[in-house]
Amino acid sequence: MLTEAQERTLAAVVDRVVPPDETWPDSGWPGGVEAGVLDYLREQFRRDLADLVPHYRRFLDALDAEAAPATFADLAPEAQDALLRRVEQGDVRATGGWGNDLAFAPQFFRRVVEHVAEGFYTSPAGRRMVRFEAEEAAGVTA
Amino acid sequence: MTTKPRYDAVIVGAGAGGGIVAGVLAEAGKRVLLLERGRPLSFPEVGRDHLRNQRLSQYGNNAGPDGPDHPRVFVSRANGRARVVLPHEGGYSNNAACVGGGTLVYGGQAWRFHPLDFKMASTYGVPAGSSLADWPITYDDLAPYYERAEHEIGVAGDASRMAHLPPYARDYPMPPVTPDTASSRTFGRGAAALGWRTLPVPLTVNSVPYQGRPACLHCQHCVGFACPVDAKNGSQNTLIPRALVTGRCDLVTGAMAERIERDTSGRVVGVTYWNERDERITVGAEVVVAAGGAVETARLLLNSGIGNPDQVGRNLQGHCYSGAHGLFEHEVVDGQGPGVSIATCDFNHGNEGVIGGGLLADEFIPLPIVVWKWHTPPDLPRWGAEAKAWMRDNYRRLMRIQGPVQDIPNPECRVTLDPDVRDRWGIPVARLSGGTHDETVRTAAFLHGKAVEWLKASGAVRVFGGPPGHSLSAGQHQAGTCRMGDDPATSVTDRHCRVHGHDNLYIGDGSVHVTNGGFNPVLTIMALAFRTGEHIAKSW
Ligand SMILES: Cc1cc2nc3c(=O)[nH]c(=O)nc-3n(C[C@H](O)[C@H](O)[C@H](O)COP(=O)(O)OP(=O)(O)OC[C@H]3O[C@@H](n4cnc5c(N)ncnc54)[C@H](O)[C@@H]3O)c2cc1C
Ligand code: SF4
Repeated sequence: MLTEAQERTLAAVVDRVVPPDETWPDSGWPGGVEAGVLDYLREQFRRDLADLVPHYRRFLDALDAEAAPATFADLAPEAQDALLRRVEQGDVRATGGWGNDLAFAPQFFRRVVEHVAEGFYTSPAGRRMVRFEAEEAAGVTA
Repeated sequence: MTTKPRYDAVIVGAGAGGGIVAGVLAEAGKRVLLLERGRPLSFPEVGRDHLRNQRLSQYGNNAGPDGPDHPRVFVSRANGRARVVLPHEGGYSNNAACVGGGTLVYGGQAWRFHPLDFKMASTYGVPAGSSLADWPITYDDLAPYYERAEHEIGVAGDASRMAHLPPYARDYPMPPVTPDTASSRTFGRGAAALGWRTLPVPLTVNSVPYQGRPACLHCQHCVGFACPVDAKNGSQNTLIPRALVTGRCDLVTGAMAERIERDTSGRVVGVTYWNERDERITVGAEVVVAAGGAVETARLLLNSGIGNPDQVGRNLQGHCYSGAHGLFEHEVVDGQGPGVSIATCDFNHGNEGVIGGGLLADEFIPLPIVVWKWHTPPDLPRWGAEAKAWMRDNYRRLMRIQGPVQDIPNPECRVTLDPDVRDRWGIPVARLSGGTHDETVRTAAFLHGKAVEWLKASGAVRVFGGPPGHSLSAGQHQAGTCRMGDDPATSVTDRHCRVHGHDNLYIGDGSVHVTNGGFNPVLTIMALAFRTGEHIAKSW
C-alpha cells in the first residue's frame, strides 16, 4: 500500500506526533510506533481511511522532499519537530513535493495527527498511560 | 386494501417505548407483533471499539443502524445546503437500531421531568418564532407511570434527595449506584459552599442484584456500550422478555416498516414491512403503535400519508448540552463506572431572565480518545511531547460539568421526506432541517455560567470551554415530532397518544413530547409507554 520509504517516513512522523517519553524504555510510556499505531493505520488504510491513502503517499513523499538531501526519518528528532512545525504553519517550499497546493501541507498534517492520536489513545499503552481502567475494577474486557 | 387482522397490535420499533408497550399489551392478553429493523445484539457483538460506538461514532457505530442501508439528508442551517449523511456522521442524529433501541447502550440517566416542564407556555409565555406549549397532561398524571418505570425497568436512586419534585409515593427500588466517588465528593463540597442542593443521579443500573440480574461491576464502558453483566436495564432485558414469555408476542427483527396501511374508509388496518429476506409483507392488526423514535416515526407517518401533514415532523427537538470543563489539582476521576454521580436540579426553573433551564451533572467515565477529541483546552498543542504529557497528567484531573438545556421548540426544526433520496428498500428517507431557537441559546449561556461557578467553587484551577451555539439538536434525545395536544390543528396525537382522526393508531415513543424538559428524556418516554399500553389494553 505504501512503499518502504513511505512506511519509514510514516513511522518517524508517528513517533513525533506521539513521541516516546525521554525516560522510555526504563520508565514512562512508549511512543506511537511501539504502542502499535502503525498497525492501526495499516488496518485503517484498508478500511475507513482507504480513500486517503493517495493523500498519505503524497504527504509522506513531500515530507521527504522537504527534508532533502536527508530523508525525514534520518533527521534528528529536534529537526523532525522543527520541520513538522513548519508544515503545521504552512511554511513549506513550493519546490518541494507539495505541488501548487501549499495549503495541503498543514491541512493534511492535522488529519494525520488525529489519526495517530486515534491509534494511540485507543491502544493498550495509551489507555494505561492515562489510567482509563480503574486499577481496582474487575477489569472485564471484550 | 383489505387485510384480515392477525394481531391485536402491531408495534413498529423495539426501543424504549415500543418494547414497553409490547410488554404491557402481551401481559394484558393481547396478541402482539413487535417489528424491529435492527437485531438483538449480545455484549460481544456490541464490543468495545472506542472509535465505533454510540458515544463516539468516528467511523461507525455498535448498535445500529447499519450504515449504507439507512441514509438521511441533513440541511445545514449555516448555508442551507443539503447532504446525504450516514448514521455515524454528524447531522444524522442517530440514536440506535437494535432490540432495546437506545436502551441497550444508553447511559441510563433516569430523570422525571419537573412539573413545570409540562407547563412551559403558561409559565413563561410563548417566545416569538417558537411553538412552546403546555402538555395536555400534567406531572401528576404521569407520576404513577414514572413510578412504574422506575420499578419495572429498575432505577437506582434516592427519592429523599429529589427535592425539586413533589414527594415520591415510593422510593426507588435500589439505592444509588455510586454514592461516593472522587467527583461526587469534590462537587458536593463545591455545591455546599454555594448553598446549592445536590442529588445522586438516578440511573437504570442495578446497584444491587435486581429482577434476577446482578449488580453493576463499575466498569468504564457504560455510556455507548452494552453491559458485560447485564446490570444496565432497558427494554431488551425487562419488558421485551416479559412480552415474549407470555407466548403472545412475536418479535420479528431485521424488519423494516415501510408504511401504515388503511382501508378504503381510511381506517388503519395494519403495517407493511420488509423482512430479513427482503420480502414485502403486509400484516393486519386491530391497533398499530408507531415507536421508531422521533425521526423515524415522523418519517413513517409521512410515508403513510397519515396525520396532520403540516404538523407531523415539526418541533423536532433534543437537547443542546451546555457546560464547561474544569482541571483540578487532585484526581476527580476515580475510574468507578458508570461515572456520572452528582447533579443539581436547582437551575431547571426559576432562573432570572431566561426560559426554563436544565440540570447540571458530572460526566460518565470518558474514553481517552473522547477526552482527546472533545475535552482538551483550546491552547494545547495537538501533537508532540506536551500533548502526550497533558493527557497523561490530566485525564484523571479533568471533569466536565454539563446538562441538557430545555429546548424551546421551533416549528422550523423539522423532519420532512427527502424528494430524491431513498433507503435500501426504496423508501423516501428523513430530511432534517432547522436550528436551535434563540431562547435555547440564551438559556444555554446561563447554564454555562452556572457550570463555571460550580467548577470554581469545587476547586478547579482552570476552567475552559464555552457555551454552545445554534445547531439542530435532535440526536440521542430526539423528541417532539408528533406532539400531543387537544387541538388537532396544532398537534398530532391526543392526550392518550392516539393520532387525531385515527382511533386505532398510537404513538409509543418520544415523538409525543410537547417539550423535552431540562432532563434526559428516556424515563418520560418509558412512563408514557406504560400509560399508553395500559390505555390500549383497556380500550381494545
Ligand atoms: C449512547 C446513548 C446514551 C444515552 N443516554 C441516555 C441517558 O443517560 N438518559 C436518557 O434519558 N436517555 C439517554 N439516551 C437516549 C435514549 O436512549 C432515548 O431517549 C430512547 O431510547 C428513545 O426511545 P424511543 O422509544 O423513542 O426510541 P428508540 O429507543 O430509538 O427505539 C426506536 C426503535 O425503533 C426502530 N425503528 C425505527 N424505525 C423503524 C421502522 N421503520 N421499522 C422497524 N423498526 C424501526 C429502531 O431501530 C429502534 O430500535 C441515550 C442514547 C444513546 C444512544
Ligand atoms: S458501569 Fe456497570 S452497568 Fe454500566 S456497563 Fe459497566 S458494569 Fe454494566
